[in-house]
Amino acid sequence: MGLLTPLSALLAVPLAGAIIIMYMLKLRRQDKVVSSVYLWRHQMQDIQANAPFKKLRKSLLLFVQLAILLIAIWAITRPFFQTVGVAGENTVLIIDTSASMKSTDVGRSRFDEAKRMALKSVDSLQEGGSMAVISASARTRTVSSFTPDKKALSDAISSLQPTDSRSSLREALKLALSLSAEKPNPNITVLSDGGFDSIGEIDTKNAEVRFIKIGKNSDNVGIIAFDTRTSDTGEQQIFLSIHNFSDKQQEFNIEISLDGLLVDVIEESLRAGETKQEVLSGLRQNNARVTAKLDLKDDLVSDNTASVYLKQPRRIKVLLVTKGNLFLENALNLDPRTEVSVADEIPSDISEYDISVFDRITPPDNLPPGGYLLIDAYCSDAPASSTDSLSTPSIADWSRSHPAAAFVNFSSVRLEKARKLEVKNWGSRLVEYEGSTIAAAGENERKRFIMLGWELKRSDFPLRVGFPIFITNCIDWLSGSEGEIADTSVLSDQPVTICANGSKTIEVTDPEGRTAVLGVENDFAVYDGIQRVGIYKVKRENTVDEFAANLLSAVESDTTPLENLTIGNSEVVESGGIPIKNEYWRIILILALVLLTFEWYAYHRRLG
Amino acid sequence: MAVKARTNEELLTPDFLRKLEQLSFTAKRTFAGKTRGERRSKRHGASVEFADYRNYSPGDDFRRVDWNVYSRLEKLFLKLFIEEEDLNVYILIDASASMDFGNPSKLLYAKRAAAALGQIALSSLDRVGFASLSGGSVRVLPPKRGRGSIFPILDWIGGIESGGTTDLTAALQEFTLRTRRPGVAILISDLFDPDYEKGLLSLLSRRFETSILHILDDEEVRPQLSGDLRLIDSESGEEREVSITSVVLSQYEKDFNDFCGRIDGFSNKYGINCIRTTVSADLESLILTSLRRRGMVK
Repeated sequence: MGLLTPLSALLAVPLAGAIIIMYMLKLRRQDKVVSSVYLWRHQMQDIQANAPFKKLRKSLLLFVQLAILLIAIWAITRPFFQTVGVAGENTVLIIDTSASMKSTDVGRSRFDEAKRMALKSVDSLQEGGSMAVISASARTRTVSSFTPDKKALSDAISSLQPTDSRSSLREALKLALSLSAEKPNPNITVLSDGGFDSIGEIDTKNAEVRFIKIGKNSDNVGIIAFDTRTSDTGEQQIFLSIHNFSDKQQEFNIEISLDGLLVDVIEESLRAGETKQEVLSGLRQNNARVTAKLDLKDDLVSDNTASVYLKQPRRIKVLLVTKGNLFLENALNLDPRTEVSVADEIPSDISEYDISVFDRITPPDNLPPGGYLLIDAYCSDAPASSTDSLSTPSIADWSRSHPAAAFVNFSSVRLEKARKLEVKNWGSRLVEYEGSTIAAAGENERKRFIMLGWELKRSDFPLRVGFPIFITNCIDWLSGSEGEIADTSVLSDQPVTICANGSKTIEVTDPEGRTAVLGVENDFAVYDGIQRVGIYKVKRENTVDEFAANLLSAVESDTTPLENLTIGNSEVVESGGIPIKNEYWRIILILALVLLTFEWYAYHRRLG
Repeated sequence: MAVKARTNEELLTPDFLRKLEQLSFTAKRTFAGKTRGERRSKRHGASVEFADYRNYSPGDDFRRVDWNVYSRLEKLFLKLFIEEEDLNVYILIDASASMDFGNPSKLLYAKRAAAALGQIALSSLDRVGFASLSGGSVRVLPPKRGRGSIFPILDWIGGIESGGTTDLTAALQEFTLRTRRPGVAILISDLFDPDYEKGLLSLLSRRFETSILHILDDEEVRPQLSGDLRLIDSESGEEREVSITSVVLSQYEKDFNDFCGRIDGFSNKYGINCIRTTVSADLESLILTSLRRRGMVK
């Protein structure tokens, strides 16, 4: 308990003295001579009889008025009692909305507890103080900028929902520091269970960072990996990894479903802290959705289910237009996915082919969408145009990040002759010689190009180990842009690129039935509204596809609450709250009002 | 506050005087008068009206022996006849300080009433005396008779000055001691004396046929006061602080009614004719109508 403005109490002395002096002054009465006070004797007898009580009543009013004065003075001194809360004078509240906050070890969930504390902190916001609210998940968002408006803050906090994504506290802290840069004595309070990646070094400047731990313990088993792969024989295999984050042995079943139909149940037993992998094989369905579900009750539900899609490796139709190139033809046939058609002339319709390889034959203009490997072949659609001829260029550098150049060593390739390529603005350099581009790549209008500025026969490239690797890389990359969602199963905080396939709009419906209409640009749309794990439906004009969002995060599945926050080399100890001065002058003024009402009543009773 | 001397015309108008000449006092009892008046006397004289018998004593007039009684009883009895004598009327005016209130003041009203009553008495050949009571003492104008006495009477009345406290008991007791012949006593007062009953009883004990003309000011009947006041008693100077509220006024009204009720109760008990009036009431109407209705005058 204390007083914020104790010196205000000195006002009591002069004011109380004034009241007492006024009471000491006699009430001025008007003199009235009457014939006789004989008929007034009873009135005055009553008054005289009650004179002691009258004096007492006078004293009572004096006492009440002094009491009202003292109470008012008390209110002016702004008394407070100290509690531990979340909000200080200028506070940025960071609320963790990541998946781990959905754990149910505290109340209904950790997130509800964090919300409750946040709302309570708004109530205890000091006079003259202000608060900002940031939600921290995969995407950091300012829910409310600095405001003293308690209702606006409460509404903003109440509107928050937990997500199934990971959280990035580093981004949230940086945003909080930016918001509070101009505020005096800023306080950043983090309401979290600590389920986030390392923050690293951040200069917190003059801001005081506090960490309020939400959560008691960890009783969770989660799927931390779930993926498919196709074996050489074309068989689909499912890889599943689960971890027991609790401190006790867990026994449960893993239910495997195929397009919603239960196909297998695996009995599982995990010791505390143990990780187990399961490999499921023998599945051959095309495009079927495989769902793994852990049949157990634990703190976090979001990591108990994951889905992936079985993909039959599709056949890649390849057209090779050449006057004859056995090395090239063999390299193309090496890839088991390809169906290679060889022609010495360009067919009238090449749109049926996934990849068209033009070996020293000029492609037509206005190529249809698809993948194109141009070997010493040039056209207006290509990502580069040929300029000068180079004699015996030695390859100096190449783009090691481009998928086509992965695991390929161009340095040992000998070239007799090559064309210098002028790369267009949508193209990229693939192989260079002394600053000149001799191989390029690019993607434009649903067409992907790999362009070599030299004839294969005039180089020893086909004889290099890297050549079939290069061809396989080209097949992979050139075939990847056709009409599919870039990924069929994603982490629950990643944006998803969706090919429009000519549709002007794309509708995405989330697991909770909310539909978002995406704008299409260059025949692609990006959906970044993944907040929940589950199945998302994608509707184009003619087709409906789906993809799955999974948590698959050991950091989020490990719901053990963090004791302290580490920023760089500093540790922020879990504080449990900051001292808050709760003023209660309003209650005191209500008391004064009650006494004032009593004084009015007592005064009128005296007159009556 | 002294009452200013008033002219005779201010006390009674000529027209009112003429009307008063028609009236006379009624007395329920007979009183021994001094001279022959126009009313019955307790003494037995030579009038025609038979009063009583007494035994014959040697030397009595034989003509007054009732022979009819003798023939029946064979005893000698003398007839007694009522002798008509004059009535003594005493007008007692309370001249205490409390009477000097009102507009017109109660004292002026009392004086006018006293003058009127005096005129009635003189017109009917009664003797009328006056007494001014104040501060426990009495100033007396001995009874006078004859119409010509009205002028000195009016002068005397006009010279009454108010002052002193209301001590009716002492004043009336002194009056009764000083007055040998009882008669009709009319007390004109506001009766603001807690012991007025004692004074009246002293009159009654001396066989005065007592009447009261209870005069009040309208302000005393229904005070138009408000606020926080210091009431100062005009007689004693006593001060009392009172805060006037509707509740207080209601209580005053109750006390006033109790006060009047007590007076009426006492009056009824002892056969005292009590007439209550306020200074705003018309005096002529009071004398000519109210007193007549109450049987005080005829």
